[in-house]
Amino acid sequence: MRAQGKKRNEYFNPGRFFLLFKRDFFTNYRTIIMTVATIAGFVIFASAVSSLKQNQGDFHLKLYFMLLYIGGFIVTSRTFKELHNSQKSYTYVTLPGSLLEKFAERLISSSIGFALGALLVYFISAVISESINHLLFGYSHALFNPLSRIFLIGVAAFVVIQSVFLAGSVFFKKNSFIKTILMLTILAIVLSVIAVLIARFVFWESFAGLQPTKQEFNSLRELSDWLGMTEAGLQLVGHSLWLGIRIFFWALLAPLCWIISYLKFRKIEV
Amino acid sequence: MVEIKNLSFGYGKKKLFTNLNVQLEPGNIYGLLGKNGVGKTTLLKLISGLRYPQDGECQVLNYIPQKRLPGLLEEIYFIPEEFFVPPMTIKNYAQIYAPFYPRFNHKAFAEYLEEFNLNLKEKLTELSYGQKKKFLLAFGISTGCSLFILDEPTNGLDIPSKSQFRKILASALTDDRVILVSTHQVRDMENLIDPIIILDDGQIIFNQYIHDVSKHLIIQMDQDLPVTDDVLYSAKVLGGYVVVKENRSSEESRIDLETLFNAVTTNRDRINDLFLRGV
Repeated sequence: MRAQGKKRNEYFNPGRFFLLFKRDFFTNYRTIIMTVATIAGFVIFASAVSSLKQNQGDFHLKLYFMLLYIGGFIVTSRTFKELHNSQKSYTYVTLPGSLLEKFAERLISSSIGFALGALLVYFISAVISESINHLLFGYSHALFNPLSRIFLIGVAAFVVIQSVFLAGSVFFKKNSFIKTILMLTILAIVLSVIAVLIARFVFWESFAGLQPTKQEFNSLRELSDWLGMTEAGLQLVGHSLWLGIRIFFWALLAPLCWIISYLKFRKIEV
Repeated sequence: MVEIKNLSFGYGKKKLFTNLNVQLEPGNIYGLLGKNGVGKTTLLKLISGLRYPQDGECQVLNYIPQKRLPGLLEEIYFIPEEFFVPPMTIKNYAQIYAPFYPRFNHKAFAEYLEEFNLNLKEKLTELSYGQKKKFLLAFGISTGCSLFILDEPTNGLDIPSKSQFRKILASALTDDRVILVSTHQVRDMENLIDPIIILDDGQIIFNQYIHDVSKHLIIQMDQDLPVTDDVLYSAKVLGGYVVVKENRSSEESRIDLETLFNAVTTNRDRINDLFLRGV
């Protein structure tokens, strides 16, 4: 059989991986052009309007993150739309590329790829818009440093939160952006209810029925005394809880979403 | 090349296939026939890894299609009945998609396009449905795939295009390739598909070469309804009756696929028994 003679890696081949990027770029070039035009137009318009109100040092950083987060989440929600389209899915699924290559290509394109692409377009647009502003209003906003700590943390946070929308695009066949937002809202409500219930059980003496009494804790000592703990012990619990949340957000959330998304991606039948 | 053993599949509670078995050997253009809703397209999807079996085995070229490994995907080209073409020229499509297929034959592709009167500069989205289908057919054959799957390929093709289609498909058959065609348009496929596979009630109820069919069955026109015990099927048509009988002579008749299909689906046990007995 001819197929048995193949020596190319069945799970990851850089050549095929590159071809997937190339295919996506050329297949979606109209959408890319429209996105670029929208970003550029918005930056120029917002920058011109903002020039009327001067002294906004971090104007461009805020605007970039607004575009990155809102635009990025919308774009990410459409990442696997092709897979849920009855006609397009045939071509995509039968395209010779491994599941890992196809998933990784879409993951990189919609996260780091989008952030870098948006940064490039944003910077060019910002330079143009600020040149215009300077000529028209005699004022221009300062550009931001893409290597600054705040910028890198913002992009890293985008990649983490984006993973949730990526999972949404795999799991939801239609309206995945809205459905993901809805899911996050429901999750937030559930977590809030759990937090209230925990508080209700821990501070049970401070509740009359479901209503909290007017007991106040004005210092860490008052609270630790009330809980029957040492002040250091209470601080340790607080730090541990905060550390756990940070570890979950920065180290676990994105890989968890990627793994869940990949497992679901493998199972999708068309 | 394709081996399906005890395959079961259904949608929700509706069982489509139960313990389905079939083998496809290279060098053949298989015709997959069946009534509406029996699962012809689903079977094609299972073979190409678009759907996953709920039970049993499906192997293509010793690969399990549901793993969707590139080594197998390079060997399969599937043209569905309803398809999407991206908004780009034929030339751009070939530049982007052909590199995925290591044995893509650009020279053959150019020849097929010429045969179908298609130009490299034409935009895919501006082609008619039939032209798009011809383009995909040209591309699919040129990929050098071992398994070429077509679902209702002649739908939307005009009369000259159907002739071109048959000619090109026949020329595309090689000793190491299987062409699997699912169709309702049996008249378009006559003299092309061989063997004939008939799917009914979740099973392959018939899988025979035309030559064997001619040896075992005879299809003829009679003025009056025959009442002899060798009659397996009859239907009233203009000018008399079309009759399917056991072939008890050494003569071979021309096999009309539509009549054969009707005969098999209405009298499957007797017909299969005839083939099993080797009469």
